[in-house]
Amino acid sequence: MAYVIIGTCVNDAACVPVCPVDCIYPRPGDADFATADMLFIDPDECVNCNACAEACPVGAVLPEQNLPPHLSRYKDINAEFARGVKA
Amino acid sequence: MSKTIHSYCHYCLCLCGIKVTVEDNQVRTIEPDRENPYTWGDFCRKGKTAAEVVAHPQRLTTPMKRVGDRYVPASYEEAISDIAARLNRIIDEHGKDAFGTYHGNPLGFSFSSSIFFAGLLDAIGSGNRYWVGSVDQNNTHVVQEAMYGSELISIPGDVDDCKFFLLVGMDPAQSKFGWVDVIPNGWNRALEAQRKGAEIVIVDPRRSVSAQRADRHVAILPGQDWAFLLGLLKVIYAEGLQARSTAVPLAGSEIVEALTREVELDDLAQRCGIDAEVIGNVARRFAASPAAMCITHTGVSHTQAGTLAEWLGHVLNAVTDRLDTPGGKRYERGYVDLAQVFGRFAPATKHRTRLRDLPTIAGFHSLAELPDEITTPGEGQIRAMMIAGGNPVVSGPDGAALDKALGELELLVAVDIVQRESHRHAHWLIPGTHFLEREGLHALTAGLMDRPFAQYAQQSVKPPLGVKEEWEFFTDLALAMNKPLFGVRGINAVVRASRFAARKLGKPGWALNPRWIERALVASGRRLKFKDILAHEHGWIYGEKSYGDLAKALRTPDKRVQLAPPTLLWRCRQQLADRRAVTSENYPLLLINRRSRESMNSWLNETPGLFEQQRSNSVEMHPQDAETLGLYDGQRVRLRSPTGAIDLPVSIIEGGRPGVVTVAHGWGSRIFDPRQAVSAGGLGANRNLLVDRMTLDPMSQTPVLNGTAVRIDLIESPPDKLATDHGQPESEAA
Repeated sequence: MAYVIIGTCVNDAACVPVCPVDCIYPRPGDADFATADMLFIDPDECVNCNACAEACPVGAVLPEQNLPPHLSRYKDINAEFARGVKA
Repeated sequence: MSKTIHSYCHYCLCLCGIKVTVEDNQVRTIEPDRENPYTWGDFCRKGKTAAEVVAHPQRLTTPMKRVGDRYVPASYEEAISDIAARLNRIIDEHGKDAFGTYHGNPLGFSFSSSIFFAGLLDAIGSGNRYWVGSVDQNNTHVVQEAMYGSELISIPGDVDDCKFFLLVGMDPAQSKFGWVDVIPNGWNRALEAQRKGAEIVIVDPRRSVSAQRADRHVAILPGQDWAFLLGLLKVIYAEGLQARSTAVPLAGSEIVEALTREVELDDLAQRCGIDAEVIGNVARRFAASPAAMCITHTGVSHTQAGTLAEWLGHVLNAVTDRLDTPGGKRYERGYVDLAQVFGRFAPATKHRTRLRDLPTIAGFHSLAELPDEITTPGEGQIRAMMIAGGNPVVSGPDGAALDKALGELELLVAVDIVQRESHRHAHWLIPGTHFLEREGLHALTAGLMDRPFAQYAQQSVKPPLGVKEEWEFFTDLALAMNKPLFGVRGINAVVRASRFAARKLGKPGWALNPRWIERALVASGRRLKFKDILAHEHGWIYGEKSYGDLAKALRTPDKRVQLAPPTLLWRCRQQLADRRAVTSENYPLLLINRRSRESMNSWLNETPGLFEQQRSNSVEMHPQDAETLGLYDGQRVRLRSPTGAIDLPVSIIEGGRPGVVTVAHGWGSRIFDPRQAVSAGGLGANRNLLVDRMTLDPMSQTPVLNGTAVRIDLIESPPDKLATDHGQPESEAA
């Protein structure tokens, strides 16, 4: 189980400094931050603390199990991007 | 040279395992310890940023002595001999009670500091001991004593097997379920149970994050949890929904049943602001669930009927067979004899306060009484104080009165890592240590865990050069005062001899140190071996969760759980007879408290890595109230009670109960730099300045931090200025 960022993300990175395990990418300062469409959560590192969901001003962070069916694809999108970052 | 240390975070009772990378005695990173078998899955930003507190810019690294309006560095020898001489003179002239003490959570989270602080207090023999528990958890101690025969029997929730959570006055999304118990990752585990079909009911006036995730949010009137819980019991007895207790024998169920016949459900419903239908529904679902628990936390303890409500919550669990049963409340006996440990940490005492004639609870008096005990002349007046790991001006009610009182002391010694709000009148500042700088086994938490678990905390970095650990300072002070440490005659000679031998033989461990006590406690518990605990660097789940130990742990004369202690029945009838409204035309709103995950009371709020987005507390209010008063989000307002006034920005929050405003505690505490005579921090405002120190829960002596009548006044301030003066750290001349 992890938290998942969905497509309504506005890249304001409000979630980045509140994450206790720094598992949200890319971060302001990372090369691809300026060009990223949205931010992503690494599901292997996420500790489900809900801090990002509370910080998000647009409600773009949801716990995986609360994803409605039409947004369920974001689970894989987050995981794939995170794998790409670590590769 | 980089090394990795596995230990755990000591800020709160989640005790999250941490993996610390250290290079040249500097912390490089702190991550959650994924190999910790007990706590992994839990972690937060407090632990992540712990190294920022170690490297605090205002950190005390040497004793500091007040000279006029300034402080000058001094050696420990000078500090200890001066404090010892002044304390002895004051005690000789005015008696032992002329010396008062206060300690807070940071001291309590260190076993060595707690034990040796108690050792110093027992050496001096003063009865004027005050602690943070009196603004927090006293009600649990009173109920534990009355029902189970010991102030120290904690019964954590058995969350994984629970099917019905009734959570009253708690916000586990922020607190993670921890209060006077350790349930790592508790909220996520409760949510996991919810996914498997469990129902979660949150009783809270505020629409917290937890309430949003609950199956039902009961937005109760602040301070009236007792009426709701009594209503549940009324329905359960009236409809015959109680169950035979299978794990522990009970006494007095028929007396409680008789009490419920004296009350009308509609009356209780009106008092707590919840429909009788809802009360009936929750009661039936709770009673019918195969595994349920009722938990009451600080939202309850901070009210005038906090002990009454805590008791009713325990009775509810008991009469529906939730005590020491799977999915209910489970007792963990731990690996030490906890009653024995606490007997040392918080010894039973008959001492009563001079002015209000109140007894101790768990060994300590109520912080609410402290200002008057300092300022009122007469025999037994407090003239000297030591504050250790505490910030009572911010933690307690009416901090302005306490601040003024502390300024009148002949001697104030503060032991902490920085000079805080409560230490501004200190004559001596003694450096404290951070948990990353200490090692040890915290035997006091063994019986608070929801599983059999033990972990020895490793030292990650050494304290700043020359800084002594708190226990060593307390020991040295007792020796210098020539008072027997722990109140044991002849022990000082043993301490000196052990130190002499250690020095002569070059074996530091031979000198008296906290390990002696930790080892002795583990040995006396006869369950674990100290070396086996040491061998598990990630922590050790040393047994399976089992049930049935509570019955054996009961210390009541008849070995039964007392459901109807006379004092609580009396308190209930007294409350039933009291129909005075808390609010008035002048003060129409009720102020309640809240927790933030990143906050540990007043201890951490200025840490740069925490609260990056909003570095202040605020007045959270319902849109309806904001509209009535014509307020907009972010507007600065003045919150006023009969006791005080504070200025804060408004946050308009959807949901919850209109007429209730929420302000988090712990803010508005300055940090002083004794080297430069300037202060920093002071972010937000101290909402406890609004709380009266005379109105207490008569049983727990806890002030009414939840449910304070307030009003909101407008203050003139141009809107364009708000963006800049809101939440910015201030600097000012002290």
